[in-house]
Amino acid sequence: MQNKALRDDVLLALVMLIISAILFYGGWQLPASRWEPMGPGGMPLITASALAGLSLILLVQALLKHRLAETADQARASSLAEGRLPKVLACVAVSFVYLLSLALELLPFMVATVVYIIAYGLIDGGRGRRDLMVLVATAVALGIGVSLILTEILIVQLPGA
Amino acid sequence: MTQTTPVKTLAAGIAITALTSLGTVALAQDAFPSEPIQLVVPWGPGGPGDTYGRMLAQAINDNNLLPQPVVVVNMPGGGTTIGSRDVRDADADGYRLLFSHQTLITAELMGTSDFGPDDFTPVAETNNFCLVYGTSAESGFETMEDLQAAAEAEPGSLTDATLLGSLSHFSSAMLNDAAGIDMRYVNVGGGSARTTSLMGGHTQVAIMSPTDVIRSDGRLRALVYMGPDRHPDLPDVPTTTELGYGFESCLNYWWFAPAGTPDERLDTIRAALEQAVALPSLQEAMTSRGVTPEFYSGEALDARIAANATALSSVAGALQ
Amino acid sequence: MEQLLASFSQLLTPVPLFFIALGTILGVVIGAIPGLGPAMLIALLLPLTFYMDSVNALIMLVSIYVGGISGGLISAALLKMPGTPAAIMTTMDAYPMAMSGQASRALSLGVIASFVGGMISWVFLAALSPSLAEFALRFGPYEFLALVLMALILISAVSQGALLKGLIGALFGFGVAIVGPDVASGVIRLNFGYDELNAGFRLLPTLLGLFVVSQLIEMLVGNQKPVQQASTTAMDILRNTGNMVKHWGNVLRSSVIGTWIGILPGVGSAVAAIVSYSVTRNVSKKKEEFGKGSEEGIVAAESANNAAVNGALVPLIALGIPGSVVDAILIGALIVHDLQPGPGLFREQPQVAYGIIAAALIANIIMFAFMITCAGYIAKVAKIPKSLLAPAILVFCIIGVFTATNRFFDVWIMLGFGVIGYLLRRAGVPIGTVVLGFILAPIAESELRNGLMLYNGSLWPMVTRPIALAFVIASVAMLAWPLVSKSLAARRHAPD
Repeated sequence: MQNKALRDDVLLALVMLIISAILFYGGWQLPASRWEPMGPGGMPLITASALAGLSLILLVQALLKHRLAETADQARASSLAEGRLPKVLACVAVSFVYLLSLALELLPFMVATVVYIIAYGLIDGGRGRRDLMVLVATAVALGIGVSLILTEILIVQLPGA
Repeated sequence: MTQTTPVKTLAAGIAITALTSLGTVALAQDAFPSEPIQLVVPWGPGGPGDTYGRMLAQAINDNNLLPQPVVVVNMPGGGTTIGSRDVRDADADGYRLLFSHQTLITAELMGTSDFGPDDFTPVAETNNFCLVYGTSAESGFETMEDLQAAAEAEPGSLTDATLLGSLSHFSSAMLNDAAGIDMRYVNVGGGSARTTSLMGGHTQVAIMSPTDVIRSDGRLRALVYMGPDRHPDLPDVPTTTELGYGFESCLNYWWFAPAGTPDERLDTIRAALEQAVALPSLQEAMTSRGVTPEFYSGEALDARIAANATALSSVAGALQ
Repeated sequence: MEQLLASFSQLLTPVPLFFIALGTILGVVIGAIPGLGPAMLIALLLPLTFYMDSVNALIMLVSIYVGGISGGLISAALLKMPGTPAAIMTTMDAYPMAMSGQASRALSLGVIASFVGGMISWVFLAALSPSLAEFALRFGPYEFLALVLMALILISAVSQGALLKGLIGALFGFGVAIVGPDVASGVIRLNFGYDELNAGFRLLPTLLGLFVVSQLIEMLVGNQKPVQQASTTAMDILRNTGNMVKHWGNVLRSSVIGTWIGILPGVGSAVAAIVSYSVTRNVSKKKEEFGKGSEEGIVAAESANNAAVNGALVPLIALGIPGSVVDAILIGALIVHDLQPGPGLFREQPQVAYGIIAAALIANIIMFAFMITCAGYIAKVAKIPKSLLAPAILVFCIIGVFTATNRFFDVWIMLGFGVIGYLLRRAGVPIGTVVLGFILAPIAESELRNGLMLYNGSLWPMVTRPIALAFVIASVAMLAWPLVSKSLAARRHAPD
């Protein structure tokens, strides 16, 4: 557990170092401004340097196993629970299909949303007769209801065909 | 049982929605427009640009000037470049239009965008208002001569609240050049941020709309008006022409379509817009807000856009 | 004063009352749904209000705002997803409290705090608008900078002891906010030639991603138990009112802070909650509880964010200047109805000006009544199976983000930040600091640069201008206090 957390810290530090490099590069390219002493590039450079510095400290702390950077327990997100992987992958896949069908305008919003909610609920939810009825009813109510309210009453564009 | 029920459920759901959506599918027709026309407004809801666009769309819709409604789509961000880029890349079928003004020119000049009015087909100009150089009533400045005197007495003491790179910035640069005033520019932001800054005594002058001055309840004062003739509600304010500065600066609201949109379709829209602008209700609504509704299209419009582009690009070098 | 009373009697008739109630209830419901929010609803309803009577339109929109800010509390406490950005600070303590089996206490504290915050700020709105607005005008760039610096000190509080990661999170948040148009110069930063990023990472997709989508991922991946709770009834909440009495100082202070921050143009309820939480934590005797279910934290955040709603109406009505982004839309509504926002409104259309003020109070009362009577149903939200809740919330998030900018790109940004948020939380970075960096640091930067432009490169006005100096002293005090109090305590316990 300790080792895993330390490894996470190292990863975090490395990712942040890369980000600070990107920030620095982007800031470096920005022109100075003739209207003000600190131009648009000032803050990016300062931030990048500070971020790099702190990430290095984190990295060194973790590598030397000196001290695990404290983390409040509540702040840490849960990791993958037992046996959830297949369901997680399926739900993520279904979500992506939904998003792509909207982004690429393959399906109208209403249809895509109803199918998505039902599919997700089938993968992860209960299989009893009652559960399924609730699922379909909610999906249909949400998908159709929200779409109609938005397009007919409020007249907004929705993603999708 | 456990195998088929999920499948049946899914099928049931799809069937219900398919039947419902069939009811809302419009039958395709050949006449233009056969579906709603989307007007992209590159500002957020509630601002002046958004309001004028909505007023025009409303005028068309309420009076059935087109067989299909005009729907406003807000796409704010990037100094209007997000919205204008969207229309530039849209299908040239006449169903997606852009509502914008000189910012399309200034964004290209300042390098924020890599395109300008030339990358669109101009449709029409529907309204405009000219800008004012204003100050707070408590600042002690009543005329441009007062400003000039103060600038000479204490160089570098005058600050102009502006939005760097915007038409306001261009306008004050042109004005201060012509008047020979050495002005310092402070980036404060959009309209209301600038008037706040003036009223709080942080800066001395700013570019504003006449409406800002008129509805300020006497707290703001206009020093010069940048339109062709004196503004009817600001009769004591001289124009830039009267003072010999030789330029005007206005916000002209233009409708654009993606390049290559068929002219017959745009003519339908132009006819509707011309009628909308002529409506007494729209005339009244706009003039009471300090905006002049005037319709231009065709060569007159092209000339106006070109004149603006020339004037602004001559100043752009100094602002980089 | 008579005009205000006249407005009340006008509004307490069936039709206007209907619009206020409709607006408030819609606002609460929409505010409670993560992904949607009062800003979205008001923006979407704006065109519809063209056809309505102007007073009815405005009182409805204002009521939505009041209800929406309060509604965010519900999903914050029960789902760990703030319903609106204003509820971010509330989430920090309401959710832990709810998880420990005291959901009804969390909700009731939040509702009562919201109500009292709204009432206190309303007094300022009704009685002191003109003078307050004038005072707000004196806030120049360095005053804002000093105020925001004071709020940034909160980073240490929100880090809950993991200061290094907290700072890293804040710097990361700031880095994210840097992408896009630079407020102070107009230059587009860090888009690396990718034009879609010309607007930067906008507030809504980023916050929804970091808080809501990352939580959805966690719900999917983990095995969380939903929030436990005994039944919550109106009586439970009213019983908790007694509990509130000991927080009177906190509520008063937070409401004043919230009102004031609402009055300042450009900053709204979210910043109000942040500053109030920060100050309250710093003067609290139970600092360690913050972030783990502190009553004071919930009270501070919820009274401040509701107070900011009324505060933001002050400059709107007195000067015609929006106090927050939502108020800019309200100004649009005024203009559309041919009303001139500004000092002239009281003279020319007093029924509108006073109507808005009166409606804010009535909406506050209706909000309170609605939330306590429906508390039982509201709390059942936590019992919805996550297999249904998760996709539904994702759908709402997509709607919320897409209707704001009409670009699917922002939806992808939200998802990206969802993944990033989840990974950051796995690595132990407190997400609250990322949000602080994202929201506050850009304000600090632009005010600093504007100040340098205004004062010709000099930083001295930070300490020569009285208001700025006051905030600087407060910030130093807040930084130094923990150290001072520790050494005082040590001396007290040291054997003589």
